[in-house]
Amino acid sequence: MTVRLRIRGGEVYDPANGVEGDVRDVLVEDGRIVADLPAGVPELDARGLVVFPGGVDLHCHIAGSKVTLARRLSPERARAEGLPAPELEGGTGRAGTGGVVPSSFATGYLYAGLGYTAAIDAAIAPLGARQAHAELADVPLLDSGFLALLGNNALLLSLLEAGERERFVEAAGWILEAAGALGMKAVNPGGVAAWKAGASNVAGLDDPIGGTAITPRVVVTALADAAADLRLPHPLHLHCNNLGMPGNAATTLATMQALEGRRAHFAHLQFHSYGGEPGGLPVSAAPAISEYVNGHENLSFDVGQVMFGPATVMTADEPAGYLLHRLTGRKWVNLDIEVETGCGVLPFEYRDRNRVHAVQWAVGLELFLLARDPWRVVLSTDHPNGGSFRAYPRLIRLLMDRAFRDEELRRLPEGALAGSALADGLEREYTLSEISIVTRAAPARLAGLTRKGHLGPGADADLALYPKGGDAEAMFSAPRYVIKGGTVVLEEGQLRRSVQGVTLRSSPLYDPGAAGRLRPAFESRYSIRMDNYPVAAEMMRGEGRVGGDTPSGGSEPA
Amino acid sequence: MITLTGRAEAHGVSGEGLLPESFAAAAESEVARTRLRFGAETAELGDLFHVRTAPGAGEPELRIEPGGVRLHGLGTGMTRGRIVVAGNAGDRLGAAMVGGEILVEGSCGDCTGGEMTGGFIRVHGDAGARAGGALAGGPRGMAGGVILVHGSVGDEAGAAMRRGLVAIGGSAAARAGFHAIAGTVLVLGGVGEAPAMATKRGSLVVFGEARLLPTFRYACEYEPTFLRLLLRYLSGPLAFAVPERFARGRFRRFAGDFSQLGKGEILLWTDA
Ligand SMILES: [Zn+2]
Repeated sequence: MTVRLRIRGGEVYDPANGVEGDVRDVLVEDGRIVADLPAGVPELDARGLVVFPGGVDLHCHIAGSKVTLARRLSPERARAEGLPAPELEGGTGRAGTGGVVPSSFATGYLYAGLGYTAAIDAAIAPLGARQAHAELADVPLLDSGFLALLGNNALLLSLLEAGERERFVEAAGWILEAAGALGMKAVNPGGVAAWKAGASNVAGLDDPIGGTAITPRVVVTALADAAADLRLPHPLHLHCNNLGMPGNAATTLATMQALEGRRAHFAHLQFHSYGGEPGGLPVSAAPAISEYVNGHENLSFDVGQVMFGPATVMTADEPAGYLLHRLTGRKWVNLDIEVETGCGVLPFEYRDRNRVHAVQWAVGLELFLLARDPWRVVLSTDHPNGGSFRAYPRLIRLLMDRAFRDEELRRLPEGALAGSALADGLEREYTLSEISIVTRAAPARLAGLTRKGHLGPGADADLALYPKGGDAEAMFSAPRYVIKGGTVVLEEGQLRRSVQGVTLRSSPLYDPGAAGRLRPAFESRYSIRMDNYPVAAEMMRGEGRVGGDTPSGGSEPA
Repeated sequence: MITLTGRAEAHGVSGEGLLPESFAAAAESEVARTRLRFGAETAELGDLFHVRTAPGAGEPELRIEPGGVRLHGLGTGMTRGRIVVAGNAGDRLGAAMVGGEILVEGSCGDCTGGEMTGGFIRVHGDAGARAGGALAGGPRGMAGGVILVHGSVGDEAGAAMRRGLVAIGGSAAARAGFHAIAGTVLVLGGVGEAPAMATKRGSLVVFGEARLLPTFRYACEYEPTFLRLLLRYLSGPLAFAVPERFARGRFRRFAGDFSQLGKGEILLWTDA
């Protein structure tokens, strides 16, 4: 049966197609946006509403062992917010728990409740891919996928050390395909592998990794090349060395330079943009970082904004997790994932009276406000590391409303913002169009999701309709309607229907003989047999192959 | 005074938000419309209980005749007034309570008085694990107030407690006073394995059988004045029956846990 809908008379923000606040109709047929519909189809009255494509979160953590561990580590937070099951058409939804790391079903409901319809988990160990797919299938209303952690894989590092570049690329491709990943992620490249092996963490781009002859520079450039060779829709997604360290902006800039024009996406750049001396207090180095990014079109980033209040650190950057645990003295989980990576999880709290946290907060906002090209900027809190995705509406208000921002600024400790452009008064206020870019169009385009983030014909009919008037936080907290794949899932502010999203994964391009060549090294390193490693397609939701050799591109409905 | 009389079989009902003062001057029909979490969903209070209100002077009082309804988290965060449960209560009774009193004529579940900072709880029957302890995931247990359990308790009574008193008329299961930072757990019966394990400064007083961990060291035998006063206070104003012979006798003091700070103690009663 053909399902059609005319969304009439809304103020449409679809910057990918040059539409910035025009009042027009958006037409939906069978889950897609179309150019024409016959007269007399059902209508949804969108007059007075702002029409956005569905939100796309390019960097969050909503599945995998780290998220499960975080929930188990902090039952006190779950207890504080029980979420009764939503009353849905055709049955009851799932009850869950809220807090900073909501339970799986609740995560889907809450994201959709903000108008988000796609999300990418930015850190899944390929060994944990099976579990991650199963969990993502329990996060309704979101098309979702993940980035696979490759930057500390001992097998891949050994191929690099042996100078086997081609074998390195095809092995990376085979792992991504086996895991069903969308793209590749490197976290503190080399540093985690060294730390796990008992050597010290790397301190910079040219530190040897453990006792080897290779350095983070070698790993970063090789992975960036591999992403291009494998025709991945999303470039290397990079969490630099020295996360959170005062003075780390030097490492970040050196990494950007080392890429020499290769494409790369810098994860939670806020955590990597500090001046100051190691061991001292951080100061903002956002102006220098922003200037470099502004001048280099091969680079994009998500911010990883810190929001004051509770957060949960969950990172594959095991030494960083350990350091934070020593700093806070609070509970902590450390997890080793053989061959591939590690993981650290701890509850955290950002306070506006804390000088370090105040600097982090300011650096994030500076990165937003100093960026000249919003198409290379993605709104994120690195959920739940800088704060929960549930704080996005407040973050949007901080970007759109200077008076509100200045008011927040005045609560920070005196003198905490030395060196920050924010202290000099950044006047910029994001427009609705720019918000639409950094929350929809840019993340979709950067991830190669050709049918997301815009409302042109052929796009997935994922939309969020927000009421105008009131402040931006109120507006973006409470969409009036949310449409997922053509189904109106949220009506008059109430979740009414739940639909399953699809798996967003890529089709890495590599020689089919790769598996055979990889087998001896694989069998000698992993405790799992190679044949048991790939996740069968039946274990994933309906697949949406993205980019690569799938000519359609974008996601296919389940 | 409000009286709620159970009219259904229902386990897993959240009693959070049911406080003596919350219905001051409310009509019965209004009270009946209050929504309670019930498993994955919510239910109207009126579907679970008959509601009766009666005018009363003084502190507000909530009387619950639970029947087949098991309420969890009853009295959470309570600040004043009185709750009487004419039957059994569920888990987390009086969790994080600040003031007021709760009387349970039957028994109750786990975490009774968990993380309370003030107020008074009396349980005539038994209590489950972690009475006066930290709630799941919480760093600290009770930090003030009094819990009296006339019957026995489960594991880890007073876990991670900082201040206050848990007095147990029967026995305590494993690890009574586990990880206590300070405060007193008093057990008129015996205790299970590993008493006061990992305690920092807490006091565990045992009148019955106890087998101590090797990380507790004998210090002395004496008659601590504070205990004589405490026992008198318990058996007098608090109406907590203490056998006459316990008021006599001496205590052997063991310091520990030396796997931790070692500033805690176990006092074992000995019939002098
Ligand atoms: Zn992240």
